[in-house]
Amino acid sequence: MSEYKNAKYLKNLSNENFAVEVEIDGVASQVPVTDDANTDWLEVQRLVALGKLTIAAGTDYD
Amino acid sequence: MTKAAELAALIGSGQAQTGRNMAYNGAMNVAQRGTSSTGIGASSGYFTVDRFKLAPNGTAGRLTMTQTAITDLPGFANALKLDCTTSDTSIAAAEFLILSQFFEGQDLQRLKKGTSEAEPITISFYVKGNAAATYTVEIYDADNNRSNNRRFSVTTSWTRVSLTYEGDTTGALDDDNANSLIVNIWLHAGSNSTSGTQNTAWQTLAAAERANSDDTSFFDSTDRTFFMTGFQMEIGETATPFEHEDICDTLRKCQRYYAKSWSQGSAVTTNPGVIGAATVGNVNRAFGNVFWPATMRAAPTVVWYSGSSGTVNKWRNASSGTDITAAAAIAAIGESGYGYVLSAGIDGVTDTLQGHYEAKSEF
Repeated sequence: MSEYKNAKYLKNLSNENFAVEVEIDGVASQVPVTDDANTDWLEVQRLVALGKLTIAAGTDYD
Repeated sequence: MTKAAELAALIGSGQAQTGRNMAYNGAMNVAQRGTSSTGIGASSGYFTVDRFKLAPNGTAGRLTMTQTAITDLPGFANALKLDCTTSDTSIAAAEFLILSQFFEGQDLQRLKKGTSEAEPITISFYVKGNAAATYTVEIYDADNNRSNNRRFSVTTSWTRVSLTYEGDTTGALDDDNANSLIVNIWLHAGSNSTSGTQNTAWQTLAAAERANSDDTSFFDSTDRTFFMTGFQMEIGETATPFEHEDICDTLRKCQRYYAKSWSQGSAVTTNPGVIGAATVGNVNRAFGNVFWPATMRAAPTVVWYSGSSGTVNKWRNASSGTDITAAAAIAAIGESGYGYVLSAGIDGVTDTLQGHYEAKSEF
């Protein structure tokens, strides 16, 4: 199993959350939140539901 | 024999048909992530040869996985090689090591699974090892939690293994881009997977019946090796000759699941001077697009790398000689590409910005 940690939302130019930046086995990765076929996003959601991962808020674009 | 009869015989043999092989990268010719990875055993993933996943669980055993050139099997230039580097002869109940390939349901509708006309499946491959061994190949239906198993033997010489599984009239496969079927090669298994009588007919998954207690453990010795190539999965009860395909087709198929901006001969983070994506800046704002080389299975997970140092989660401002915060999307990450925006660390319109990417939509 891979390790997921240090998650935070990333915002696009419309200030919508487009991805979660999360370290997957130590590599900072952008996981899209718009596609439930992405297996990393499914795993992030599973870990959040289990209380094993939290996602910090993203920063707005100015 | 007349020309017509020759043609009929050729078609009947299956040799004239293309697209017979449902498996990916069966000749082991594509290894986008690199050709060698050491110390595998703590976590699962795709390490070298595309589309072949290694899933270890709970074992102290470690191995090196390589795409290795071969000269002793005519018609094949490459093989997948596993080499045990740390043995594990105390096998806990939950341990396993599985070499897998995952399939989308929409690619397998031809199997007619779950209907009265369900097709038999034959899996074939060439295999050899350092010594005699026996392992198990499981077909697992992830949509319906069903499985079926066959065992095969390995010798010190290349042998073509052919395993036929009857059609399964229960459990249709979903017609979508999610995983529906997995071919699992069990190389090491604890009693949780071997304590029952191994099932050799389609049935609801029974955890204790997946592998066989008489199977070899790949981790039994640091002498242990496992070579495989010519991997094929096709409809029917007979293994037809391996369906070779050109590198363009194989690479394009693999890029549906993994793509990178580096040259194929360059591993990720090496030779970062090769341009992946580039754009021209404005003061703290630059835009651009990257299109993946093939439409990906799903919107991929993306990792950005500095175009100079290869540092993760960075882009390179080549004009100022500094790494800056990685790109964000203009709108979203898509199956076709990524419209990106960089919003810091840019001094003006003469700045040139460079980035590399990996895009992953594997299972």
